[in-house]
Amino acid sequence: MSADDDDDYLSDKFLVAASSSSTKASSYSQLRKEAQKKAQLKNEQNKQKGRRQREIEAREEGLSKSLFDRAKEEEAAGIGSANKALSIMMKMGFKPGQSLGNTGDRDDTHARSGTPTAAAPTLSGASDEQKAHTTVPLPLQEWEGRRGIGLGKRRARSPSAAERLAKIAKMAESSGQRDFRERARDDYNNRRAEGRLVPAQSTCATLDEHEGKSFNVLWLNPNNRDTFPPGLLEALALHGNILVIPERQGDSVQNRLRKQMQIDALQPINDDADLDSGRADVMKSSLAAEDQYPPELLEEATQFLRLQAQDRLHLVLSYLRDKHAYCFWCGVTYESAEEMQEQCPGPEEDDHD
Amino acid sequence: MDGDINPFTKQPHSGQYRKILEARKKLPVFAQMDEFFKIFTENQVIVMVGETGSGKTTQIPQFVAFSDLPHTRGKMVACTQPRRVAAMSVAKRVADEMDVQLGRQVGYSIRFEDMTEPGTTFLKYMTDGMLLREAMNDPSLERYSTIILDEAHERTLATDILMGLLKGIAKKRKDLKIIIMSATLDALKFQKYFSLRSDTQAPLFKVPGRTHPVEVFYTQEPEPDYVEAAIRTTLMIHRAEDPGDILLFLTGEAEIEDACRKIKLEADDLINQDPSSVGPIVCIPLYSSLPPQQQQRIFDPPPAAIQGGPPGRKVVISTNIAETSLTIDGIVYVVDPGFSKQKVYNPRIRVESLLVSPISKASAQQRAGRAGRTRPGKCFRLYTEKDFMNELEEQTHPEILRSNLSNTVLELMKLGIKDLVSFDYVDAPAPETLMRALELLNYLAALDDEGNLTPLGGMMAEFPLDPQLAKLLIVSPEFKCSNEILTITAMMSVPNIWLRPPGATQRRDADAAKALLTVPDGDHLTLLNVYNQYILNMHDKNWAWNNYLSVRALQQAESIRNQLQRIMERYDIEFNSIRDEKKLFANIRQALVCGFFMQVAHKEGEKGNYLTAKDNQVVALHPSCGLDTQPEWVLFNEFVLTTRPYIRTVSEIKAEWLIEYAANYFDLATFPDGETKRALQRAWNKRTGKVDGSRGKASRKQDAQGDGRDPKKRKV
Repeated sequence: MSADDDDDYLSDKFLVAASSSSTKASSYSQLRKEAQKKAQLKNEQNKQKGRRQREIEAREEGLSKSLFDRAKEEEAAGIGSANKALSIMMKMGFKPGQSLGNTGDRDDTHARSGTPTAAAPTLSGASDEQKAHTTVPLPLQEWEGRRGIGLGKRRARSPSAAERLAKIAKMAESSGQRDFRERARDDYNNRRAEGRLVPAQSTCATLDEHEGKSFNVLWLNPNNRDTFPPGLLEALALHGNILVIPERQGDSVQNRLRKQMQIDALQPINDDADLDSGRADVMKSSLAAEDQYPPELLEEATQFLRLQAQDRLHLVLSYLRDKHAYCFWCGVTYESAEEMQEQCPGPEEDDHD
Repeated sequence: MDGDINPFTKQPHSGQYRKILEARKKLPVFAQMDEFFKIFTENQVIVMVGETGSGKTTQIPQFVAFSDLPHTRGKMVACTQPRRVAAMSVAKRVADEMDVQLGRQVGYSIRFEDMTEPGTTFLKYMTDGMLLREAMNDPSLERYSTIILDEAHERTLATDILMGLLKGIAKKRKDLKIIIMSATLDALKFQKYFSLRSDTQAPLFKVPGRTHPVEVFYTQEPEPDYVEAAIRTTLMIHRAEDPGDILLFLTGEAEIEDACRKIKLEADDLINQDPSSVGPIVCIPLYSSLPPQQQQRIFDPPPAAIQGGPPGRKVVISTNIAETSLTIDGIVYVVDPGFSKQKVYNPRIRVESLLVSPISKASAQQRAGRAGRTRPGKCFRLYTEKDFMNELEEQTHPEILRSNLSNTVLELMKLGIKDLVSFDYVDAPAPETLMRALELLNYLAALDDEGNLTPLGGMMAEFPLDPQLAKLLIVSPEFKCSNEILTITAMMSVPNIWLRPPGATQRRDADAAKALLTVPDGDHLTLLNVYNQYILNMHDKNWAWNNYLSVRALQQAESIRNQLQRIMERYDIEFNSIRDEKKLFANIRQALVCGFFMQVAHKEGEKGNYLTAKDNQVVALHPSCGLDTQPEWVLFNEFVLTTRPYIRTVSEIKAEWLIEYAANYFDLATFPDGETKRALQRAWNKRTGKVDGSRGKASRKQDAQGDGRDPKKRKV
């Protein structure tokens, strides 16, 4: 820190800090020390995060939240009155979540899932109706230098997937900061959630397949290999995230051990042709597998599988509500989001007592 | 048409007319003239598809004029173009073809330039944006008998909006005919959109192009550096392939000029080594900011062979303007790295990104097609076939999905379109983009809280400017600096005025010249200073040249200034100035706040980072910025994402001004928490006098320092 960067003791910074903490510290030197400490801490933090890093973080955060969500939050927090631009739009007949344009029937909430990246293999799998207008802004491209096509980052994720990823990341972060007692309670909740995930995920798969979707990350269950489409497990392992996934249910510990020993054992010089070709096949299929799945899908799957069971359950349930107007606790598919709003007591289990 | 007397001027036809007519008769559309007349008379709306070079842009409007005879009814035929240059050059060509003087029977109208004669002109080429502006004061476009939207496949913002408007007008005005012309085959979307009765879609009129097969080659592996790969491929073609010119697609001016130099150098090397097997080469750059005379060079013939050696070759290195709108004869080879520069606006953080991004499959096919104009050709794609299939989007996103809409929303409001939510868009923009536009217009008081256009908003719409700039012009007399604001506005409406020559020494000279013209308080004042110096130096081209300034941009700024001045006179906006320069400069910056208070950033920490107000985006001052310090508060014209997030065209402002002139926007109750809010809080406290002695003193001291430093650093 050069001399210029030292805070001037007359600068407003200290006075503000002082007024906020004036109840605790009283003497001037105390104040000064405290402020210095704070400034140093902040400086340290800033040093750790490069400028570029902070630019990206600010951008991702800004991009991850829709203006409608922002307006809703601000209103809920009591900052300011209702958003004027939004209220002008509502007067024109707009409802958040809908698209603009001549949608034929403005109150049909169903025809609004199309994203502009219609051709992208979107993992949220929104059954891309070509005709539907967009509900979300186009994603921003990032600087790629002069790398040719196929070498840069893959095409920007569809925004909804990006939003979901951000949410997953946040969940993972917050679950890391709990004390022991909470963790114990979590363990219990997770075991309970684990049990509920199975029916919830199979409902999800049924409803999705009904809409012609062939795959959704939310169907994946780390305890059940059958929920993974062929090649995905290998692709996930290759993606650099080896996931501990138990073998088929019913495999005993001994069985697994035996298999492991078999694999680890020194190979006889005279090749056991059968085993070897089997391995080659695995290699081949897993290589093909990585090509088969776009990296953003792999990343979302990895992130999803890393979450605790209750968080995974939460994601699945809110997806069911948003996409299919299905409430897991009621066990009912509603006609529309409005009807669900009216008739379902709420999104949590407790609401259904 | 074969008569001796020109039916429009009643003069005998010139010899030139005959000669051109012979050439016209060879165009593909000419063969289908009768078919066109039939479909045109039988339908109100038709969709027409014809490849570039079919002659549709020049011929169809003439056919229509002959069929409609608009002048006999006091009406006109309009044909829109997405680009200014195209509108001008096509009008010139058509005037020649019809044997009339440009600006009389046939004219053009582009922003800041009207080349028509009211009462005489009956065929008008114009930019799509101009037709949209005309609609503001003539919502059913009564003066036109037929409207032709050309290059509709480009899906520019104005063309998209016009399609929405025309669809509505066509239902009310049965006498209005509409032709949508597209160069690509995705006409079905337009046909469906214009099915005025719900059961039938608009009929299609198709003119086959004259195309030859094109063989497409892909690379085996992705390329680590597409520019380098493009240069290598071009040289490979030059050395090994049969005669025929090359078209190479790159993304921007700097990249293109750089590639031109490198190819020329390498090719000359090859010729020196082996003059008997390598022919001469000429590299011609093509991009939109190039002056028109230089753009014409693409039509030059290839260089002649040297003493019995192999024939010469022309290499055109172009942005995607050569993709659909320009036809260059003789192109046999196309090199396509798969990129173009794309502008994308994001309403969530109000940023415009301007980055090189992958093209769409449709674009790639267009590019390949360019190789088959003269004879069978070859297209070299610098990516793998797999990546073509998996990585490229199907279609390029229409501009309406990629743009800030504040200007368009104001125009539509002025037009009387009140419901922008259920407006019949061809492709509807993201709802959040509309929300941002309404937010801006509401804060600028162009719209009231009910969403109705205010009288001020109506006046703002009359200026062919962004709403912020229009507001700025209108309020400027209150700050006694409307003459200066008029200049600044004009300077902000032209492309970059600073020339950046290649080569390190020249670049240093250019920077030095710029430093001498820079006003340290802000880039806006620098623009004012440059313009004033240009006028003081009697519009001297040499002066501009010596100072590395673009004469063309300065001339354009002067003409725009005159146009804007006329609009201001029409609204009785006072022109004023004050003598005291220091005060004047402060006033100018305060006036700027009235237009641009939503584009403000606050300094954060010691490293010269700024945070944009409310959106909290970490941004840096653009390298072109001339501020010599890092003031606490700045106002910016643009927030762009290029290699990094930058704010561009920046001026220093004071927190007091924000509170004074934009209290609504900087209301603490609606402000997100953070350093910026605390800084604002201090300014509010100071204003309301809730300050203790020492703090008041400290800030006064800073102010005094600030003022003291100004005069000696100004170099005006």
